[in-house]
Amino acid sequence: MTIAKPAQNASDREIVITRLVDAPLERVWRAWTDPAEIVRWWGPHGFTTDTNHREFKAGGLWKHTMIGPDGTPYSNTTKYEEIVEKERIVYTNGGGKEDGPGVHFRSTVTFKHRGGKTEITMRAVFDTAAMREHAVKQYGAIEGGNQTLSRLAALVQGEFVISRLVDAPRQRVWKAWTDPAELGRWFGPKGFETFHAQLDFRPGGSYHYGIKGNGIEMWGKWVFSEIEVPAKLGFVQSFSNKEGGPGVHPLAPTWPKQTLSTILFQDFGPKTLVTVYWAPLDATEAERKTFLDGMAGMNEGWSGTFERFDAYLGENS
Amino acid sequence: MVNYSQRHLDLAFGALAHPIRRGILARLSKGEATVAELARPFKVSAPAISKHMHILEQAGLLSRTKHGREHRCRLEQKRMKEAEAWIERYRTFWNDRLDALERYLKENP
Repeated sequence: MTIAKPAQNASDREIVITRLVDAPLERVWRAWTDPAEIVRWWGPHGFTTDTNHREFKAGGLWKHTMIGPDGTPYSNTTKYEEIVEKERIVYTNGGGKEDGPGVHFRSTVTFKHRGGKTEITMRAVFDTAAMREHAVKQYGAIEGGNQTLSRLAALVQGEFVISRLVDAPRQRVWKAWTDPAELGRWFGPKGFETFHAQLDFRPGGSYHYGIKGNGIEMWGKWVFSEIEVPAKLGFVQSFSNKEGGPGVHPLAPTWPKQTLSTILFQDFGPKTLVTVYWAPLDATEAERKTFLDGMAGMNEGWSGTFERFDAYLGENS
Repeated sequence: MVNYSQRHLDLAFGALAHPIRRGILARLSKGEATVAELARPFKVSAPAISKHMHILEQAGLLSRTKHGREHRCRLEQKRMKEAEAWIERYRTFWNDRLDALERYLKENP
């Protein structure tokens, strides 16, 4: 997972963000145009979006409410000015906090084929330089724009994203993740106890752990690919054995042998917004599918089967 | 190490991927039943029901015992729980970790 860097800003009224997404253009276009898909990635980390009304055509409106990680609602109205199939979407947006000064901009999103991948460019032009400044300072528009496209990329690339506002300062949260005396005390799955925790915390270093519960013993290993104190943690997770060597998934032959987790830590007032990106690494097609099916709500998978089964049991007992 | 069998899990998931078979299991979760009792709510032929029951049996989710001329069926709870545990672990993996992190930080500020 990489966060895109903003392209050079052409004027003091503009914000330009580009990102190369590892998915075909048709897939990316669907994420923008399907009303069920756009709300799954729209907005910065920790935001959810509710659509009140949406008409995806030139002149049509998308009235939606973005809800921040702390529950603050932001009403927005997007007006689609121009839609060129699989090429360009132009829209104007008005919105902001209920009682705050508004934010108005005109945004042009362009989509380009890049050898099986897709380059997305979002160019937002604000009414005035002061309004751009307000959007950047007050709403973190540049960082937020990058996060939005990261969420979009994760969706179309078949990755999992989750954000959680944690009631503790960032340094404290960081320590819980990176201190060997702390990590094993909370990380194990429900009903499991960590009986072995060996942490070598440096890029290239590893965390080797053993957990047991319900008569099951499992070993796992993280290898740290990225450490940015106290903002970002990247590690490759795999099943392991007692000695720390490679292990196999005890249950599913097609579960990805390695997954990459990227944990981002952001200040949110006195709290910390923790965002997790989780992706299969060097996975085969079958492994990617197993991964997707395992994620709640991401696909018609076994989770759906079980939810239906549980619901059925509930109704019929 | 883990005592689940991959083959059994594959069979269990395959078996669960059909509404009639889920219906049969749901009925059995309330107690034993005869083949005729299990077939009653479904508008399908006896051979079709028999085929579904065979698949459930192969997956180890259902067992039959013979009482005179009657077959009584019951749910094999253990296999069912194994399959549920497997899916639960991945479905809620990061959500559970973040729950645990929050609890831990509350107790250890």
